[in-house]
Amino acid sequence: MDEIERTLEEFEHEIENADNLEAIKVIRVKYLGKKGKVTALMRHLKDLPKEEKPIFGQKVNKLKNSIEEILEKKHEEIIFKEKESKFEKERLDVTLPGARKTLGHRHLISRVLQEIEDVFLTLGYEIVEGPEIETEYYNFDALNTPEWHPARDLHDTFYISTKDGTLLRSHTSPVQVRTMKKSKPPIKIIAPGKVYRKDYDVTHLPMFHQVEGLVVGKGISVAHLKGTLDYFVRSIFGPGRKTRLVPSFFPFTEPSFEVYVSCGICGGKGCKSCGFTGWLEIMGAGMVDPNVFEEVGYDPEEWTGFAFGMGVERIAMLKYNVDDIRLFPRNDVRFLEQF
Amino acid sequence: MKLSLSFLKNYIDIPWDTKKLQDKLIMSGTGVEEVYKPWKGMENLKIGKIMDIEPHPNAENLVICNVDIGDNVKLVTSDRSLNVGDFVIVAPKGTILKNNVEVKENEIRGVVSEGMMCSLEEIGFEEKSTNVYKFPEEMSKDLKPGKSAYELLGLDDTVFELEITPNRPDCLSHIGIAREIKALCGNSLKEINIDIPKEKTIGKDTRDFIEIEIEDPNACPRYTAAYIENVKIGPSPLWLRRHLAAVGIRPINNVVDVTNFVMMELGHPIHAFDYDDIKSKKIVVRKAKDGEKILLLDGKEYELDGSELLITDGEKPLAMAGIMGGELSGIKETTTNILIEVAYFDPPTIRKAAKKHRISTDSSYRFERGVDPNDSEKVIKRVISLILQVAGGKAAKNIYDVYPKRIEPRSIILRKKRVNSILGIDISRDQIETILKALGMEVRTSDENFEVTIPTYRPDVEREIDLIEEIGRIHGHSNVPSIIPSFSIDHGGRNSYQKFRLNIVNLLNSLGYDETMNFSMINPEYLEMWGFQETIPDQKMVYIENPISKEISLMRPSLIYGLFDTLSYNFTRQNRDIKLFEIGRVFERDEKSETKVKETEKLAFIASGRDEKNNYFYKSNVNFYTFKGDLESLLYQMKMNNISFKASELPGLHPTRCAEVFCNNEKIGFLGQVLPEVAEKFDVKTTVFITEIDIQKLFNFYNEIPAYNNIPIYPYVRRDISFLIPRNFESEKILNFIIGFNKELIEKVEIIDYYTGKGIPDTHFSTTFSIYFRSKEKTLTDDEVNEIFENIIDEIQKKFNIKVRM
Ligand SMILES: [Zn+2]
Repeated sequence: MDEIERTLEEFEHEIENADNLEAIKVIRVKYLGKKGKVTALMRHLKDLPKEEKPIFGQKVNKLKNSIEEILEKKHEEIIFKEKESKFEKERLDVTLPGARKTLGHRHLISRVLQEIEDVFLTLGYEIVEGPEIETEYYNFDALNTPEWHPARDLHDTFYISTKDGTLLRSHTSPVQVRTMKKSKPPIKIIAPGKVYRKDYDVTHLPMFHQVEGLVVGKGISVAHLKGTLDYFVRSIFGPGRKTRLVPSFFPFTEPSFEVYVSCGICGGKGCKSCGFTGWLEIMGAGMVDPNVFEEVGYDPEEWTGFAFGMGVERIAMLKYNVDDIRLFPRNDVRFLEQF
Repeated sequence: MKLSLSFLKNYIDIPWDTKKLQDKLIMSGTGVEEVYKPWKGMENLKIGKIMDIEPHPNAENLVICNVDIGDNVKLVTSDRSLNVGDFVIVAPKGTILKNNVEVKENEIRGVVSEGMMCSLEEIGFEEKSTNVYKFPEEMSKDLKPGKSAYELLGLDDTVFELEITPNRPDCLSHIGIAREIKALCGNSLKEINIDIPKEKTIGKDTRDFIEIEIEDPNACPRYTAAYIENVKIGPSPLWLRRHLAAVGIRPINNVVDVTNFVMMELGHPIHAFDYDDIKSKKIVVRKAKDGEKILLLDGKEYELDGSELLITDGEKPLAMAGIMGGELSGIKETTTNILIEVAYFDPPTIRKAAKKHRISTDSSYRFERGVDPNDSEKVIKRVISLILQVAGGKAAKNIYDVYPKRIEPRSIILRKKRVNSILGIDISRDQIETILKALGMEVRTSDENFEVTIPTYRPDVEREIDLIEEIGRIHGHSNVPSIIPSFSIDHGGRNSYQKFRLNIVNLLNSLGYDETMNFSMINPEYLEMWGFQETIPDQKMVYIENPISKEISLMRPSLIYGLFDTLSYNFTRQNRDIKLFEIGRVFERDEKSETKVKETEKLAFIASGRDEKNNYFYKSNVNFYTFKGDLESLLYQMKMNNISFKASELPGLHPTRCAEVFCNNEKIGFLGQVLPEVAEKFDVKTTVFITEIDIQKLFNFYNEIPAYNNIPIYPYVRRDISFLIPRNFESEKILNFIIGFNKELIEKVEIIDYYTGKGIPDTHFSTTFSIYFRSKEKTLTDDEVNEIFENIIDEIQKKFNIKVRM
């Protein structure tokens, strides 16, 4: 074994045991430094006979290259290992839940109310609000419901003062009257808000929410009412849901309808949820009665219109399968936080 | 109203099955709430003939009947009145009798009874029976043992529970529904027999027996009477009982049953008096006197106020007109001579009286909605004819009809163009005419218009629009096209206040608050529990005059009561980390307002427990400053500047942890810690913070589109300083002082630390202020900043007499 081979063997042994960058640095100096072993061999070249010089020179160069290559590789290896162990020390359990910000929840009624509003906003309606405490005039008289009329029994009303004729509105229709008295047609509004009726049981609340709509224009017909409600029903309950107008009676519309939507559970074939009829009642609607127009000073020959009104709780119950209306005013956070 | 299909078939042939009929009625506006078979479960009732009766071996009061029902069955009964040869109704085992009583094969004291013999009560034909029913002699030719009693009695009936809208009194009868079906299918109505056989009349007129005087023809436009003598009061025949039972009317006696039957048949309520109880032989229809009293058939005495209409004998009241008969002049077992009344009363008069005295009868229900004033003759003749048939007797040869205020059928002009423009369809002249005629209207046409005469049983059809509705509902609305109106209005969308409010809702959700919606009505006791009753005068409160219960009888003067109640509900159900808010109106009396009440929309929110319940790196509980921070975050995010707080004392709140909130120096609300002793009254044993803000006031200061500021070019320089501040000092003063010290160069001041505890006296706290200096013109040097900073520190120490914390 010659000197060159021995040097390489020695180097390989040393590098084998080097496990940090500092050790590599020492080995590099030991072999490639000014006083290093390979440098010494290079210097030895000049002492050799001329004919041996090329071969020896080649061998030393090869040795130098090998050592450099190995050193470089080892260097990279160590850097990689060091990084690896640093990351390992910093390892986190990514499955541990995040420290979440607690976000609040919309009340389901408020959320459905906004869904309903948004449908009509896309059709260019205005949102109008009015007082919750009303006069008999706006709640009944102006709506073609005189004192003796049996239709007043349809709403059992909370009175603030029978003497003053002030009451808690039993529907948001007074807003329609107030709007018509204030502004000239055409009109396209919805009136959302709280309403009150003297009823409190599994299916009735003394306070609940309504959205009523009113459209007054020239040539407005039942076809426009139907088109609007079809659009509303499909937007809220999903495409494919059908609407049905069933003749009914309200004092302030003529003709009047109860509006049904096809049952989403059975698709109209009839099931327990829809009482085996295939249809679910969702609102009342109709063409504005000419008496109401006369009351607000519109000419019923020139203007026609339609109105509709729905209970927000009812829509929410149908859409979100809520089976107890009393959950809404109860405000149990275990309910609130589901939406 | 209950509609019996077998009852209905007396008046029209129905071309549809039950389901189709139901659909047809619903789609034309007659609501059908329920469909049921009233005698379901009784299909196996059989006619039985008693072949043999033997004593019960083990019981003296029982007998064993061997009854032929095709086969021979043994039936045990306690009815000792039965005889061999009697025909009875036998219910085999499995039969479901009235009130869901199931017939079983029973062993009765050692003898097996293979079913039972029924009384009329058990099949719903009688209120209270004492004996097993025996078919009468005259029926014997129809009676074959083993044949179906269900069929013989006509029990295969179907009843529709109808929901008739208040505008359609004409549908409160079987003839009314028959008329609807006629309009829908075109079949004609069957004749109703109103013949009074001559041999069953006497030579005198009704007016020979009674004098009729109507004092108030507006309230009673028509009064028709008929006299019948020598009737025999007794039970009604089976067919009559069955008709009444099907429609849910209790059989009483033959005369009263006939009046009820005819009411259900023709829709016109009828009253029958015991003629001999009318001592004066005179009927006077008049308004009651104030304070007058009347004893009605329900056994109650009513005190009248003068608005009620009475049927009197000239002195004493006999009946409250159209509502209920008097106790003293009704039909009794001993009655022999009767006076039948068929009248027409003004609907509002009847309604007011019925409403005032809280009486609702089948009669008042119809009169207050409006019966046909012009069917009286037909109705009274039908009653006479049936009474003569079921109770015998003889009738006066003529009725006595007093009709001082004739009600004529109305005439309405209907324009074809208007029909189509309202309904949005294209219906022909012929179709319109066909529908109107099918509805019983007389039609004269001229070009495109119609002159339509409305039968008086349709008081709801008063105007052209009402006729259009009729055409629409009979024609059907399923073919109406679906069109969205194309016109637009001046502006739409949410107005700025609605956007502002929605923004608040979304921000509070982001701050971790759940939205609640509480009743606007609260328990007035809450005021006292909160100690608020002293600060808000009771005359400002808005109470409900007719509440359902005390718990919801006061219109809330503040949102905090309901919100705290909700917190308490959740707290007592293991939910301890709570953040809730509500936006809604509060109420206060205001004589100037149209409704004498002022409504203000407010926002309230409430918090207790951990501030960030899902953040395990930040474990602080809600405290005054985190809570105040939530309010400030909301307000500053909405660019509500110029917000300030003043320490104040409010009832129900912690006296040294309570502030009033101002915006531009106007008070907009308060915030504070709920007094622990108040919280405990609601079972809340934790620290709770609450705030209420008048968002309508706040909105007045709101800028929807805030002005834009240039982004700074030069860097800031920051200096921090801590002060030792007495607890009763208002740090806001320091903040305002610093900000105001050099408006050019001081950009903002922040609080970066709050500390109490070790090294700080109990009476003080330490706060670190971080001041940001920045110039719009250049980069500030340390020297420039230090000079201002040191001046600030010096002046604060001198001005407020507080010390820097080293
Ligand atoms: Zn269904």
